[in-house]
Amino acid sequence: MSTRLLRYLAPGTVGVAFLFLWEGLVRAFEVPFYLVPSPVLVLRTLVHDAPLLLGSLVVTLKITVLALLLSVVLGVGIAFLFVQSRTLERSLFPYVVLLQVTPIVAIAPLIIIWVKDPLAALVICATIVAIFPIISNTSLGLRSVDPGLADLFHLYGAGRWQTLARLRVPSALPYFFAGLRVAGGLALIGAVVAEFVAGTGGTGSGLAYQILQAGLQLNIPRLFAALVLITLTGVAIFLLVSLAANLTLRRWHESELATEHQIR
Amino acid sequence: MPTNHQSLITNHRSSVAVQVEGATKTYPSGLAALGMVDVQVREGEFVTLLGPSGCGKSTLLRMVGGLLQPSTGNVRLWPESSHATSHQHLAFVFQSPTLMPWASVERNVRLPLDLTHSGADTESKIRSALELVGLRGFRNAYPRELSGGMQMRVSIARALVTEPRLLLMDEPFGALDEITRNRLDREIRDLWARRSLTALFVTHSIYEAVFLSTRVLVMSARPGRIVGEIAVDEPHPRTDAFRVSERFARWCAQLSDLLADASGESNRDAA
Repeated sequence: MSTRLLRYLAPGTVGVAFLFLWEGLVRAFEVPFYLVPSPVLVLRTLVHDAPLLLGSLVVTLKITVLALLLSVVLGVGIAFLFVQSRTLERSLFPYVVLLQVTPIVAIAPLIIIWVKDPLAALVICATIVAIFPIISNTSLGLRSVDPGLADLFHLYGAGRWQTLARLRVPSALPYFFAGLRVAGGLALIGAVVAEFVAGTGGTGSGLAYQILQAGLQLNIPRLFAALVLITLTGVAIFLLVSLAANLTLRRWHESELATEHQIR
Repeated sequence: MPTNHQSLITNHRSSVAVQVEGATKTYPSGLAALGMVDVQVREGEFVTLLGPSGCGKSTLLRMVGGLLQPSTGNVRLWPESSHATSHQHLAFVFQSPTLMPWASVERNVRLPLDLTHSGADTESKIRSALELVGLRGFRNAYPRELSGGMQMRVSIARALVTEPRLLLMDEPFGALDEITRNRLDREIRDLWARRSLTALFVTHSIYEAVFLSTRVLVMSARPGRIVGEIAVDEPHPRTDAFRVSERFARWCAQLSDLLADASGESNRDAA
């Protein structure tokens, strides 16, 4: 069997088997649906509640995507600044770490109080969660320049900007994408956590709010349906970022090259 | 050998390309990489720095290229010339190909032109540089897709694309197999002759030094000093027949003796 087929078939089989087992167990032991709904019921709820859930999905997705974009713009900008001056990096990096280690649940209420616009508040929360891997990976990448190439640029009298654009940025790309892959997941987690904290209802409420409400109403099938949507969103973001990395790096970087043999 | 005599005479008349006076290099750690060194390279010469590893020959070359500052003494390029020397006149070939992995062969070769803003005739310069190293058909290949020898050719094309007057080479073929190395040595030799380049070449191979050079400077072990000098008085073009000739063997023996003396001397110093 080709390895390509196996790559999709193997995890697919595990997934389907797991769902069948789940369905079978729920039926055999007659588990009540308000404790553990069967996969079929979750799917039916997903279809039935689609208008409500998809509306919420759009809200959560919007927060996630905005936060990820903001993380990239700010994170890359900060990394550029750090690389231009060691002093600046030494002075500010501890605070970036501070921001990273402070639980978002703890600061989210403050941000929600301070920022009037709820969407903006949630985007800020999610950005705080997602930005760290972008900053740390990109600044590491911008510094990971082949010393020989650095000599070459020096030899031809390259300026700061030429060196940044032609040498540092391309060298940093693999590191940046590794950071982006982590940040994508974190943006979604940050968005959901912030929504949980915000907790308010209304028309502009995201998937976390649906989970919260469904939990309170013991509408467990809907809770599961919302959970499935969040998970699928996370997987989709991961795949999109991986695709972008592959398209950018496949011609030259080790991480995206097809190898003839498996590295053990 | 009339041609050769002629070239020696012109060498004496030609202007100085590299002038190193009393240069030393001591690293902050206290490691003395280079003792007191004086070197003069005249335009049109092919000078090789030959010595054991760690003798500071690369350090000296990097100083000439402006990549390192001497601790004492000074390095001047074209000291007799009135106008300031610019980066366009100098090219460096490193020990490894040092190519940008994310850029095609063409973009790698184009880099020096872009960095020095030499906009005119970019296309034809790149084409002729690639032709010189025999890589015309590989413009769009990526470094990873090429063999080590081909990568080195790209590196040489990149060095030649600015049409430099002085070519500095730091053991460029050290990592290659002997067959490829011999072929590239021959090509470098032809390029030097055709382009009326001045070349300063670093190697630890006696054979390479004899085959390539008009003059070989022998260096002692660390801290490196120049302990001997031999003018390889042989006509060009030098062929593969020269490599197996008795004369070639005699030059090698001479250099070998000088190197042995140098290491003996440094041993006495250490004792």
